[in-house]
Amino acid sequence: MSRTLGTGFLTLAAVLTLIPFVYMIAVSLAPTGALWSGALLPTPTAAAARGNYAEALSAVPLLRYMANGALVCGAILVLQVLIAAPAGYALAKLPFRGRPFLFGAVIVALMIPIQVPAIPLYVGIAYAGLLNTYTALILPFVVSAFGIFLFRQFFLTYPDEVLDAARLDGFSELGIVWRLMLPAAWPAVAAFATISVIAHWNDLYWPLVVITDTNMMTPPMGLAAFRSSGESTGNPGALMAGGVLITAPLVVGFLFFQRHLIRGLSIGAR
Amino acid sequence: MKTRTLLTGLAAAAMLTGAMPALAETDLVVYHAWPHHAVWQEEIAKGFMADHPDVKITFQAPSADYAEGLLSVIRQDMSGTPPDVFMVGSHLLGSMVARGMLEPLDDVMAGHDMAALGYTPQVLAFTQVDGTQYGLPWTSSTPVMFYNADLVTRAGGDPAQMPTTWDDTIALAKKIDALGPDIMGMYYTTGDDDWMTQNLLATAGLMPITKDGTIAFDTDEGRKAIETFARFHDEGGQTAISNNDARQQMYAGKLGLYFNSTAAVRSFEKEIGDKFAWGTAQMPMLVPDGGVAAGGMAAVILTKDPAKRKVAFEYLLYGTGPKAQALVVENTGYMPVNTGAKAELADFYAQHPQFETSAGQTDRAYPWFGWPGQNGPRISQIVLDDMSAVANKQMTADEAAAKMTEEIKAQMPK
Amino acid sequence: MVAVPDTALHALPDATHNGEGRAGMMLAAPAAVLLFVLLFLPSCGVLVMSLTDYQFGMPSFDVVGLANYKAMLADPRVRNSFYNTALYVGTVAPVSIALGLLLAILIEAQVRFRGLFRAVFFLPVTATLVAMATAWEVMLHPSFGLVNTVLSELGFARQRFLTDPDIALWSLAAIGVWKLVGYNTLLFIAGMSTIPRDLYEAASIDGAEGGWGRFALVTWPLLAPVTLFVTTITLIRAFSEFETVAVLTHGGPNGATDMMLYTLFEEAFKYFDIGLASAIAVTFLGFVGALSILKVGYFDRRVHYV
Repeated sequence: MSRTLGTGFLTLAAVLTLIPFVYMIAVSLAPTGALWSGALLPTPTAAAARGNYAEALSAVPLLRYMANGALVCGAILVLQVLIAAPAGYALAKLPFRGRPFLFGAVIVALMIPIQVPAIPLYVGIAYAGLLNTYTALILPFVVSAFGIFLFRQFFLTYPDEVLDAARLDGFSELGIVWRLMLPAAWPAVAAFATISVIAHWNDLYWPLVVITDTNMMTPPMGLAAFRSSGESTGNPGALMAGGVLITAPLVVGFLFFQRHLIRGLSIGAR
Repeated sequence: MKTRTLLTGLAAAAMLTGAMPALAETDLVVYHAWPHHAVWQEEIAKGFMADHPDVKITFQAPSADYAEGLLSVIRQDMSGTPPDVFMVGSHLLGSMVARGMLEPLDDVMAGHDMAALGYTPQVLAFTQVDGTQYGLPWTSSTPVMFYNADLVTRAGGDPAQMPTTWDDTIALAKKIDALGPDIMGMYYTTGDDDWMTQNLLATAGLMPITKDGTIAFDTDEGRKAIETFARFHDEGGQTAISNNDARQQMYAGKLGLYFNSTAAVRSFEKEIGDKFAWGTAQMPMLVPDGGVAAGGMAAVILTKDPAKRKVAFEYLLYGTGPKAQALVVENTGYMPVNTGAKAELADFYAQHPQFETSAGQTDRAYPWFGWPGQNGPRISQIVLDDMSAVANKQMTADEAAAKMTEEIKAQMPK
Repeated sequence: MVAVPDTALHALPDATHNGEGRAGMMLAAPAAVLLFVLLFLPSCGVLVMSLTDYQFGMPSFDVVGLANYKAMLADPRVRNSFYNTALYVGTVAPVSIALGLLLAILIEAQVRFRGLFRAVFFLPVTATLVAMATAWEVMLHPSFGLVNTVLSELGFARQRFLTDPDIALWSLAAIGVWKLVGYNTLLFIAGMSTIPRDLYEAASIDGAEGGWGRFALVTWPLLAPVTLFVTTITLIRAFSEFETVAVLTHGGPNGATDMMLYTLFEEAFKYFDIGLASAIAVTFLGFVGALSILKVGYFDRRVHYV
């Protein structure tokens, strides 16, 4: 009895959670008139679907925004791993002067959201003439305190004997990081990657600060601009089509990489 | 012999290719707002380059709106490489002059008979600051009354004789609103800044700061203008939904009267098509000698190079000339800034009468007022917030007028 | 789940002069330098700016002490924004934590479809909030939206969900809960999976009857660290709400949905009041930093769900 009740509640909650997705897809496939007739769910037609998606792609350079997003997310992720993995390894396995200090700094850095250093970062980027560039979108995120911390925690569990053996075999310390530690920490890398990509693909705050050029926008910023330009007012279907297109990569990616993602977020991302 | 021919040929080819950059002597970088304007902006540039093969025009990617565009130019100015020509919302002109970013156009305008070229003093005043010409109006608009002719007729009105006073307009809106629970009588948008509120004041014959330096909200006519806005809600059936919501309501045929810039007319044509009969009428007035506030953008020259300024001014003249303005009107719904465009547009206006209404108001158009000092954007927000409070019945019109007066005073230069 | 003991810090041989020490410094140097340049330096910068009258593009500035903070606390718009933030956080955090816990318990009690439910509730976390916000806007349209259509079918009056000053903040809060619940559910499930089964058996021997007794005696106390963690990150996320305000309401109508980060953004990058914006940024850091100390403490001393 109580399990039936529980299942009922879960099903209701699941339906409520899914409604915005279903509605977004339905509107993106339906003619505008269907929406304004006051129907619960507008009925899709093939012609309207083609029209809405074609307009979303032509009224704003949505594919370009998505390419921008992919490039920025990719560059951020690669640089984050390149910088955080060696640091995490050093913090876990290599005693050096200043190590406790650096670890303390990483802990403090975990507490500072990007909005805090944003104003001085903006001034610096503006004076360097880097506004409206990929550099401006990427630079503030190349060092991830969370990444360093995560890698350190993972590397701590790695047996020291294997490291010593590797050193005897002529591995350099950097070689150890790339050829031993990272492959062994693959679950952490995958988890970190999903967190990083979700955060930066979806970010609106920082692009709004450094980007005004309509060719340099990221997917959420481009979609917000499409909405506020008024060009989509008469055709919400096109706006919803744009929303489906920029949301799809992450949602589809989520369905494929669910396990990594859930593990990654369980570790406690932002 | 053969070798010589080859050499001659090479030389000729070299001269030809060499001649290409030599022909394009001047590069102009142009920056404008609104991505969806790129189509006709580029069309104008193409036409100009066809007439002037020695000039090459390139565009920076357009900014999302006027404020973003100005910010970007201020930043580019800081690093020393602003665009050569910039289309800025004409209310922001004063702020650019205050920042020392603009030179008067006197040097390049000398020797041009502007009146003979089709520019009326009223239109030129749109882009003057304290009587000095700093740019040319590139586009120009005034607000109009959009109406759903079917609903007007059903409510007993006559689409050919739309009301000309706010009292009559509100009375008509009330009747439209009574047609059904899903039908809204009217919607007067306050927009994204204080322009539409300036227009309410204009219908009461007021600029935001009156001739004797009083803030218009601190005058009896000003309070009456805000009171009229409250009456839209109390009597005319307006509810405080968003401008986007209201436009969708209009497109769906469930809104009687809608007030906004004539620049929306193109979208109306696209979205409504022939679903129902609709039209535009001139703005209703609160006082007989009231006016409207002209919006639109000023084209200004940012380059300091004298030779480049000359060429840039030629571009400004071309873009504000009859042919280019006809193109702008047909693409947007703006009204022409050049009297010469009327002849070009005769056929178009005959087929699209909704586009012509705005032009009929030019003779009583005030310039788009920019608040003095650096706090213009904040004052716009104050006005928007307090008007929203009136719409939501959080404040009476008088309370809002008093609050706006006080808050604006605090933001003005001391 | 892997328990990670934190011993590395304390059991250090002094080895700074050998090869490992040098290699350690080399490997840590890029991260250290970048953390300093990209995070600590500008964060100190904002602290300094909050004590000066610096403006963009101005060559010099004066120290004004706490004037910016006084102005911040006296500014009715900022106060309104802080008040809204408190209301928003005070609603979204408890609701999404309680709902997250409830859903986690119900999912754990399921025999089938556990993975499916988990995935469904998690979808809003991955989805691009800006896009989903526009979908919510269409759903909440005052005349044609799905929600109002349903309300009106059921005989209720239509509502202006995003433009009524009495409702708008709660509409954003509903979207916030929708966005955050799945994440909390997931964390609670992860936490529950670590509770040893035999504890439940022991509890029933002790006379804990039914679901509630087991929950009160075993689940809830053992979930305490997870609950603390979920609470802190939910509070931080709610404090940091920006997208729905920036996309849907711009803080309106008449400031009804103005919140801390949006005000910070507007003061800094729309009005260029750098002193005031910096003071807000420092205040924001104060809130979020304090919460983060709890979160990081959990990170460091407790266990990790890996």
